[in-house]
Amino acid sequence: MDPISHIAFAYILNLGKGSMWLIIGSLILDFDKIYTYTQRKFRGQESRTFLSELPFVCLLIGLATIINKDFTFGMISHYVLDFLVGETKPFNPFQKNIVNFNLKTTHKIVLGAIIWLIGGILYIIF
Amino acid sequence: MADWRNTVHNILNHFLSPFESLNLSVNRISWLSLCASIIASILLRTERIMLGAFSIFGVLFLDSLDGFLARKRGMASNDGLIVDVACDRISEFVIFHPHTTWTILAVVNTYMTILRIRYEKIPILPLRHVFMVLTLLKMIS
Repeated sequence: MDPISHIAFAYILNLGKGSMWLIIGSLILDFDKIYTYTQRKFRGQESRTFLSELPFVCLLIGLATIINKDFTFGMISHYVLDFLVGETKPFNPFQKNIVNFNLKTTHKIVLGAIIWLIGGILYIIF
Repeated sequence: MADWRNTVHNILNHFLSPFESLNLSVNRISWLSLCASIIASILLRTERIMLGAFSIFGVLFLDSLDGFLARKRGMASNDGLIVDVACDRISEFVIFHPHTTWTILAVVNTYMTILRIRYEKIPILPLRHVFMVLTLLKMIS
């Protein structure tokens, strides 16, 4: 999912309470894309390294929960959205099994649009 | 230990058998259980404790149902196990995130799950079950 969808999804799940920590948390897990994109790996699990997967992410979440709740929640919402919609290797580097719920591209686009829309409406209301 | 697990499986099988003909894929049920945890998390954060606890029960029900259907349909596999346990661990983070101690326990449980995938004797903590019971007890008191 694109960065705006991740921010909007975190914002929706946080019930319209936004903060800089929430935005940073909802984007930080995509930082490994800087590396994978330079390797011309753009799609699915090939664009994800072990830094985007549960064993590493849960350590980050464990540390972040002591620092800031919004930051923690941003990361959790990011992982949830990637897991539900995309292609992941949840226990990479310990297990390489790929998880994909095979949502159609059109469904993903519609879902992204709905997330943007609800996020936008919540932003206007709050 | 094995006997205890068999007893639990038998009891669960008894309650879940009416859903045997459900026309949903096992992975889709795991997907739904994760969606249900998002709903449970929202309900708990908006102080709808009873509904939140009920939603966690729904999450646990769906979680049991996917394993049950996988066994009944002869589809139990390592890939299915990965989907199931990954959904469970992510669901814990979603439900527990406002609580520091529970979140740290979920981190521990994630690593225990990684070990469990390799070594079957490692237990997985039933954190959501305990959390649901404690939430209900807190509400009653």
